[in-house]
Amino acid sequence: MEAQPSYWKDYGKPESGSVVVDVPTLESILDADNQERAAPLRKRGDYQPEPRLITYDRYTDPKYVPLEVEHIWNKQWQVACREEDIPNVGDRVSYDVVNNSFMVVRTSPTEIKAFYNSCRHRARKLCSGPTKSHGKDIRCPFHGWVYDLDGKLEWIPLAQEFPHVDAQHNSLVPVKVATWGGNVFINPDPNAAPLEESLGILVDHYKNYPIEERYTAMRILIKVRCNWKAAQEAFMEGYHVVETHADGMPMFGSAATQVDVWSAGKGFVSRLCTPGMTTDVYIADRVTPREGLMLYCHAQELPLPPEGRGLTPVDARRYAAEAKRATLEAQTGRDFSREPVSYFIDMAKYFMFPNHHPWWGEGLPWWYNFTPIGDNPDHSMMEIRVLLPIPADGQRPPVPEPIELDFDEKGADRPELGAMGHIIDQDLANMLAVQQGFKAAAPGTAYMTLANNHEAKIRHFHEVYDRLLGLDADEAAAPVAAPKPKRAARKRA
Amino acid sequence: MSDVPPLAAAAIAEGEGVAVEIRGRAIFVCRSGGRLYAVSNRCTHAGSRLDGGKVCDGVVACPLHGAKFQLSTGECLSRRLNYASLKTFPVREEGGRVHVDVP
Repeated sequence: MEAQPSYWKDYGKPESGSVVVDVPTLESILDADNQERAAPLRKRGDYQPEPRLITYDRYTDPKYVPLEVEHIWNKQWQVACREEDIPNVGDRVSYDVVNNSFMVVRTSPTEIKAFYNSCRHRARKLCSGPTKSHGKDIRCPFHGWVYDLDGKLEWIPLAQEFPHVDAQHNSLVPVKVATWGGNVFINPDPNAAPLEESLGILVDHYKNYPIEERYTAMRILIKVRCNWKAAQEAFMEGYHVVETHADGMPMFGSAATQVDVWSAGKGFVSRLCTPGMTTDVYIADRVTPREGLMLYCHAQELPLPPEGRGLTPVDARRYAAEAKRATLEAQTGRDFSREPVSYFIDMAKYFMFPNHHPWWGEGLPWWYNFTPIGDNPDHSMMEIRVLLPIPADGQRPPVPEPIELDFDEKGADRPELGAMGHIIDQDLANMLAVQQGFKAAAPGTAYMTLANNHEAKIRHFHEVYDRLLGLDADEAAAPVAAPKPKRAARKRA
Repeated sequence: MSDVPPLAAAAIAEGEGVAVEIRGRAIFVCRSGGRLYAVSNRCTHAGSRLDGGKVCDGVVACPLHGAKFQLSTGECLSRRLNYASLKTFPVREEGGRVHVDVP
C-alpha cells in the first residue's frame, strides 16, 4: 500500500524571509460567500487572554500530576464516553484518567449512571476498557460480589462471613453524570455546579447543530508519548498547518484562522476556525483555486469538479460545499439545503476545559478528547471520533470497534484510516518531538513564546490551569496596590 | 541629562505608553494613575520590548510572557523567577512636553 496517495503534492513551504500582509480574515471569506444563514462562527469571543509565562516543567514534572488530579480531574466536568457507546440497559464502559477510573452504566433507556470503578470488597476494577461490556447486573470477576445497575449491593457469596456488610454502607459510590450533545460527562465533585455552567456558549452555538443527532462512524484511540496538555495544544491553533501539513496548503486557509475565546463565567470555552477550501495566502500565487479544489475533492473523496468550476476562490468554496452537501444528502437522506457554504467546508473546533474538543459542521466532523494515561506525565491518550449525521430514518448505526494505535504505531500503516492516517502521522511526529524538546531546552529558556492571536487559546488554557492549580500565587500576579499620585511627583512635573 | 526628542505629553494617554530612543537607549514612557513613568524598554526576562504591554495600576506587563514590573521602582513582581529590575529614569512634564532624564 502506498503510504502517501498521489494527490498529495509538494507545493513547497512558506519561504524563509517571506512576509504575508493583508491576510484575509474568516469574516471576509464568509462575507464573500454571501450566504443568508449565518453560521455560529459569526458569534465572536469576548476575551483576550493576557500574556503569561508558561514554563515547560508543567508538561514533564510528575509533581503536577497530583495537582491536576486534585484540581482538574476530581473537580471538572469531563467527557467519559458517548451515549451511543452504551446503547442497551446493562451496557457499561470504564473511563480512566490518571489513576481515577469510573464505570459508566446505562441503567434505563433514558438514564446513565457512573460509579467509582472499584469493588467495595477488595477493590478490583469492575469493568475495564473503553469498549462496552454488558451484564444484567454488576458482578465483580474476583469473588463475585453483585451490585444492581444502580450500584446497590445485592448479593455476596458466603454471606455469613460478612455479618457486618450491608447494602447501605457497601454499595458502589456514584459520581455526578450529565449529558449534552450525546456526550456523557462525569464529575467526581459532589458539589460541582451544573454541567451547563461549564458548557457556556456551547449550548447556544450548537442549538441548531445537535451533536446528539450524530453517530460515531469511526473511533480512534492513539497512545502518545507526550503530556496530555501538549498533545491537545497541537490542535489548539492553525498556525502549524503551513509547516506540518504543508501539502494541505492549497485547501487549508490556515493564516486566516479565526480564534475566539470567551470570558470566564460562561464556561472556559474557546474556538478556532480555519477556512476550508481556501488556498493559504502563502502559496496563493503558486496554486490556482481550481488546483486547490482538485486536492480538496480527492482528499474528501468528492466528485471532481467539471470544467469551468472552481475558477475563483468563492466558486471553489461553493463547489466544494455543493459536492459535500450532495454526498451527505445521498448518504443520509437528510435535507441540508438551509446550511451555508461554511457549514460544509470550514474547520471549526471548539474547546471546553479541560480536554474536550468538539468540532462544528461537516468540514471536519470530528471529536477529540485527550487524557493522561496513568501518572506518567509523558503518556497520554488521544481519542478521535468521526461523527456523522444519523440518517433520516433515525436508525443509528452501531459504534464500530475502535482503531487502536499503540505507542509508536503509524496511522499510515492502517488503511482503514484513509486520508486521516496521513494527517495523524504528521501531528504525532510533532507531539513526540515536542515532549522531548521540553526536556532539551537550554537553561533559562524553558518557557513558551506564543503568538498573540493565533495561539491565544493555549494562553487561555494556562490562565485557567494556573488559577485552578493555585500557580498564580507563586507568580504574584496580583499587582501591588496602585500607588497614589504622590505630591512629590506632582511637584516635579 | 537629556530630553531629546521632547514628546508631546498629550500623546501619552492614561494606560498607554510609547517607545522612544534617548542617547541610544531604548526607553518606555507610559502613564498610569495620571503619573508618567520612564523605564528601560527591555524586559529583563527575555529581552522583549515593553511597548504594547498592558499598563495598569502603576505596573507594566511584558507583552511577550507577561512579566510584571512596578513602574515606580522597576522592581519585578513576578517573584517565581526573580527577574532583574528595569532601570527607571526621572521623567517630568513641562509645558506640554515630556522630559526624560537619561544620564
